[in-house]
Amino acid sequence: MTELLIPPLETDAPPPPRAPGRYRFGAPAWLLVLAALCAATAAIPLVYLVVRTTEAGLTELLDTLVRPRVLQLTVNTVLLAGAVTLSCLVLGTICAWILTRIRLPFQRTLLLVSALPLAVPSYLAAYGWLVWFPQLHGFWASWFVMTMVCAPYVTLPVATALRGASADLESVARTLGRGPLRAFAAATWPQIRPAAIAGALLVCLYSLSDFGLVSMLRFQTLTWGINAAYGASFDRNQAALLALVLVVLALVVVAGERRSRRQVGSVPGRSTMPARPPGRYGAIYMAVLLAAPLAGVVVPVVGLLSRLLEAETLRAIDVPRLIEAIGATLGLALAAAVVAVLVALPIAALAARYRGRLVAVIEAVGFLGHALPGIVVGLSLVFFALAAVPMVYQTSVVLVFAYVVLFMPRAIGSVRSGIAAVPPSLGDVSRMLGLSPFQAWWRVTARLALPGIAIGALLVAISAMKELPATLLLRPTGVSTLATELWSRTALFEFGAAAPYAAALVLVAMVPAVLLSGIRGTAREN
Amino acid sequence: MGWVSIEALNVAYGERRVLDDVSLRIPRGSLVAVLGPSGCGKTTLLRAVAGLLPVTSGTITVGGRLVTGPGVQRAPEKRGMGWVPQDASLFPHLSVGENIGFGLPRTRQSDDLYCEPGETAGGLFAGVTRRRRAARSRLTAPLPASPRAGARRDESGTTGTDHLTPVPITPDRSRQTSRAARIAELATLVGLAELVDRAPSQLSGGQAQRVSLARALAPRPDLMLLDEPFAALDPLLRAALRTEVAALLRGQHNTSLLVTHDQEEALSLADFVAVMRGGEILQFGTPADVYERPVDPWVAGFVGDTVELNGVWQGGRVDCGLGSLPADWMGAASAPADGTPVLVLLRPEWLTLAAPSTERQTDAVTTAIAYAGHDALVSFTLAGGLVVRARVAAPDLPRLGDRLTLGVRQNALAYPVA
Repeated sequence: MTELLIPPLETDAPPPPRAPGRYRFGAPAWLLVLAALCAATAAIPLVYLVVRTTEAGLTELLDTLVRPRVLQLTVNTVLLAGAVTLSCLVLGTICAWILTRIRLPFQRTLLLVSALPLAVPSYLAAYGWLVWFPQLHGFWASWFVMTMVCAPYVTLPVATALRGASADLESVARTLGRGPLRAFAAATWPQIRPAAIAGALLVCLYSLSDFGLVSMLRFQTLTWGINAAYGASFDRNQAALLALVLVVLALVVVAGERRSRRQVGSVPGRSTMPARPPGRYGAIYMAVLLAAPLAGVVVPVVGLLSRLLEAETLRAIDVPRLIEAIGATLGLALAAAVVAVLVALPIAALAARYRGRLVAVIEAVGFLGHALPGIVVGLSLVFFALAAVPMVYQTSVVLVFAYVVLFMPRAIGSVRSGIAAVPPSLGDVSRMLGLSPFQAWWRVTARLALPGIAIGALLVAISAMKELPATLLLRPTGVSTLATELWSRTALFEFGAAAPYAAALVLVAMVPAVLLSGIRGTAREN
Repeated sequence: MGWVSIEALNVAYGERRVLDDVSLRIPRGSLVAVLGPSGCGKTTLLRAVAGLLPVTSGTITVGGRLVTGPGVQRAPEKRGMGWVPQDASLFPHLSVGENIGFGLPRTRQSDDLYCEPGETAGGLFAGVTRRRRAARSRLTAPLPASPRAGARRDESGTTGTDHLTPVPITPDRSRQTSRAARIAELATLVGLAELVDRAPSQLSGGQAQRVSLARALAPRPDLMLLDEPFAALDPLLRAALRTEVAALLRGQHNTSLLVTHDQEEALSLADFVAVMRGGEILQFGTPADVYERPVDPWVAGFVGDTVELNGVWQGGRVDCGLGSLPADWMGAASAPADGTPVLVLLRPEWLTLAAPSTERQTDAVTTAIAYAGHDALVSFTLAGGLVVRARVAAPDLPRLGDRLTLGVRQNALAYPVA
């Protein structure tokens, strides 16, 4: 789901305290209504899916549910998600510990390198491994590649939490007679637990909703089943039902994470644990740290390049088609970024400045896309477009809408923190100095929140470029993006023909990523 | 009548009343401090005056102009008030000079010409900005004579007219000040002339607060609102800056409303102090009034140290642990009957020390000294085991265990027993 090249802004500095950034008065009605409308768009796919499934009738629903096929797909999905989450939690926490507590050479580079797998879409990693080992398939292969791709989701937040964790507690635990491991468990783990669990949630959602990797490695999960049932087209009810099961699984995971997110009182201690030299285990530390980048980035990219540089491949490149795919990818991503930011803006402005039950609900609905697998949104929008607005079916409008629903949470998140970082007293001051509310917003708040807004747009653009399942279902006839071209060629084992598209995807996705690190760099300097 | 008058102001967040029937008059050119513990509603009062939050009922007028009232809720930007928040709140994307000039109108024709309110730059149609219109409407109110108003007096000749009536324009080139000159003037005024090109992030806390003050002063507001402007500074700097700021505000003949929880700040800076608690104003008066004749024991305790004793009222005197003292009755009703129990209140510095006398029996033993350098708060145990505290100047300090006779140099205050 989240393919970020660079750890989010919050990982560099603790987020500014939110409480003073809020007013005690209720939000203006027009903002509430606008934000509620924007959030409602995010709820369309889910609501329509439920409506569509229940139309089929409850008894039929239950009949289909207990079919062994459905059960098998569900069990496969849960097993894969559980195994990947667990392994990522362990590997990510160990990597984070090494990154923060051991004084290794090239520390900053190592941090950047361990974030790299996030830049590689799962299906690209699967493609890269298939290039080397075409016979790879099944549970263990999917588990291994997915773990390597997802580990940074845990590594990055836990490393940040560890860096901010007070070392005083651990020192006290040591002086009270605990060994290093037990002291870490008793004193430091509670401080990093929220970060670890938040990272694990991302991993779990990612592996639940992943489609490209499992279908390339031929492991049959719910996403695969949905696509197959949809492709078989005589049984779309079954596709809808499988989608509903998948959504329920995702929502259960999100709810579970919310429940476990206990408030951890901040520990007043200031000192942090000094990094110590690696000693004789240096090589082992390095190997653990580099496992994920090697398996998630180096192996696929080298495989990709080896195929790309074969004379046969170079000769066979269909340049007009490649350029067309690049154009479609960029155009769709740009449209999605602009629309997503526009839709996210009222929600983010509301959430950054006001609180209350209604505000919380609006924000939560806006974040729905976070829990919705791409294939579910795609499927639901197929039904919705056919039933409600047939004239836009099979146009890019629906596809852009799907991107907006899926990636709006990213836009909301960064736009909100951008706005929240602008002290509301600046707005008060500019009002008192003669600016109207909109002038004050434009000249002060929006101006200062601009980096956050731009980051939100770029995050959406990056994600939209790499999105596969919803694009497969919703792309207009004749339009293909880099991701769909790559997927359809790999599905036919035409690894050579897929290589140019994979390379183009990596290069194209790098543009917003580079812009992103530029914005973050300047934001940090300010 | 005051220049600023707040009448029966109520603000409620849902069921909770934050301001309860607050009325306050601020004379022109004076500095009024609203003093109260945190959560008493003083910041809410300030925000209501600024128009930054809606009021439930009540009216606010500034210079005869109704800014808040039944059906009237003037936008903050049309009130002509200056605002100095607690944390300076400088615009981080603008330089110090641009911050100071933020509230100065930019005219369309000449960007850097700033005019006295009511004038136009370079022609009839230039820059009739919203602020200019607001500024002009301000002039239609009758102004009491004041040095600051002198510059505008000729325009305010047409008093009492509707603010939509065009004000006669009297172009006077000599009084046109360029925007840049006004910025430089204010930067010099707050002593930061050489820092106008700096970014706000390069300023110290005290400097940032000065810039914030200059920024609020630049458009020549009718009323300055200061929201605990010194609270975020370290104590040494705070004391220095606040006397400087008070002198500056007085020098500009500004009418100012200052909110603080620091009694020393309120008493030393303000012309009038309003003591607030639980959304109500308990007492309004000069600093000396509030300190020496507090309306109730809570106010007395909030604005300074107190010595509290139980006593009995005896026709203008009270009998208490310190003997029979002349006293003033501070209750709401007229003086009570003789023999009524009362609460006797003194300030520690009203107690005087004398050498132990053989005749008097009300001598005391020094039992503790809280030394503070310039003076000390000395605890004495009286004959009956009662402890009172006196503020004693450092050279006169007794030693622990010394026996002394205590006198009182001012009438004690007698309050009804709660």
